[in-house]
Amino acid sequence: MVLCLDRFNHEWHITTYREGEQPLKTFAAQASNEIMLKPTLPNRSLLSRLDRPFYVPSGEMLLLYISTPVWIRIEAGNPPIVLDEVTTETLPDTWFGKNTLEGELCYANNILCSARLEDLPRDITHVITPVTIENRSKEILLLQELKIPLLYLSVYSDLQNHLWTEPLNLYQEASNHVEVSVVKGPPQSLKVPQLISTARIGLKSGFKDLFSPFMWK
Amino acid sequence: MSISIPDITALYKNSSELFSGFDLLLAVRVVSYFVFGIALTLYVCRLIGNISEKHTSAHHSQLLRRLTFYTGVILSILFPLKASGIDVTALLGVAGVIATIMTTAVAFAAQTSISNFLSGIFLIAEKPFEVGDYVTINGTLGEVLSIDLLSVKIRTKDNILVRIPNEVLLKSQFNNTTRFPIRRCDVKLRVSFTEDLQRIKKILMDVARKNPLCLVTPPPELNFVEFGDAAILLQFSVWTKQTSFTSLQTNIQMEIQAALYAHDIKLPVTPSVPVLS
Repeated sequence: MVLCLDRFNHEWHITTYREGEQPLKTFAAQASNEIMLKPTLPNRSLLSRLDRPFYVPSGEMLLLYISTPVWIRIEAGNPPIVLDEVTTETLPDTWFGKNTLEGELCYANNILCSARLEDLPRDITHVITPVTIENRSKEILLLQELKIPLLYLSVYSDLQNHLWTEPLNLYQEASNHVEVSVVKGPPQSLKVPQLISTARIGLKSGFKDLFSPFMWK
Repeated sequence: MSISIPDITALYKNSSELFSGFDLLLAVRVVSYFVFGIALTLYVCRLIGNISEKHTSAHHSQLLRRLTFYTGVILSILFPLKASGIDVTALLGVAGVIATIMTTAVAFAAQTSISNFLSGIFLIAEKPFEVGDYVTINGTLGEVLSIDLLSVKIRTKDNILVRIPNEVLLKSQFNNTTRFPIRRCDVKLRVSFTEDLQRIKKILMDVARKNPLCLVTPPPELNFVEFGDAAILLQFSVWTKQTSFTSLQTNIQMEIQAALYAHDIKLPVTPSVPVLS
């Protein structure tokens, strides 16, 4: 994907080249001469399918890493105004829910979920979300896919310019009862983390009990 | 040209003599109150409409505006009359008597309207569809423009207004195609008996995977329907966002045809049966 930004008199031209597409967008810009590109997260949740199913016995924990392709937010002026958001990778649409009546539209990510961080792409076009899953119930938990609530996550960078979000903790208390916790702040392993972009929807506290199922067995 | 006060007074006296027994000032006052009342009603209607659109559905907002309008019009008529000293209760009493007589007389004639009115109330309470939904009623597909007390108005895709009485709606089956956020698109295929169905399945799944409008979950499905007379009947089902259904329905069938032809799979033609006269 190639992104071109051109400044003309009172105009910004933004062109995206991707697999032959050449859509051009023109933005009126009287005063702003500065433009900023920020990595941000997509505007829907991400449904990530594990490369292989995981069984989590009662009392056990599992740490997974989910990689999400970033969107590039183009801002101009001071205070910054969002001109456009460009996807770095086209993710297919998918549905996540108990049935076709109740649920939500998500983006599908079938390859970027692993228990090993080194299996995932570590570049500026991908954001890593650490997810800790703890089985507090008496039954064994079969994990096949996860829904990551990207709308509630921010983007941080570390010294190596790797991008991260807040960690997520999932607790299976009983069958079909999952509690989700968004840890405030970046992962503790990061040295000198820097906040790049804030979440699209702010959480009042670090805890969010999502009413829709977070995992699907 | 200037008019002096004595001229105005003389004009008034002449007018009063001309319309003896008719108080011109009172009439002007009543009309002014009425006009002001209507203007205020229209302003309040617009205000209520703007506020209710943010908190309720388009249909409820429309109902609130109409209720406000009719209430405002009635008050705009009654208030000026009362303020001018006319006995409104007597008017209401007379109106009540007339209404009672009329009610009996028109009861039989208004059966259909009453039925439509009651059906409208049931439809409002049940809410099988809302303004903006796409519904199919008696074979007519269109967007619901308004849900009124006597009828529902829909706009077809070729921009024709169709009015359907509420009584008909309550008695008929209708389909709401926009109630749920995702929808399944079924493509029926006839393939030759000699074709490799596994190969066809692979081709179709590939078409769905490459089409950005197809959802990953629920996954596409290929179902064997029956051994037909001249071909095998298959049904290929893919899911999509409700808003993308029309686009998907067209372009996936074109993509399927192109993919099958690219793999040298030709769709069989239904043999024509000669009719002997």
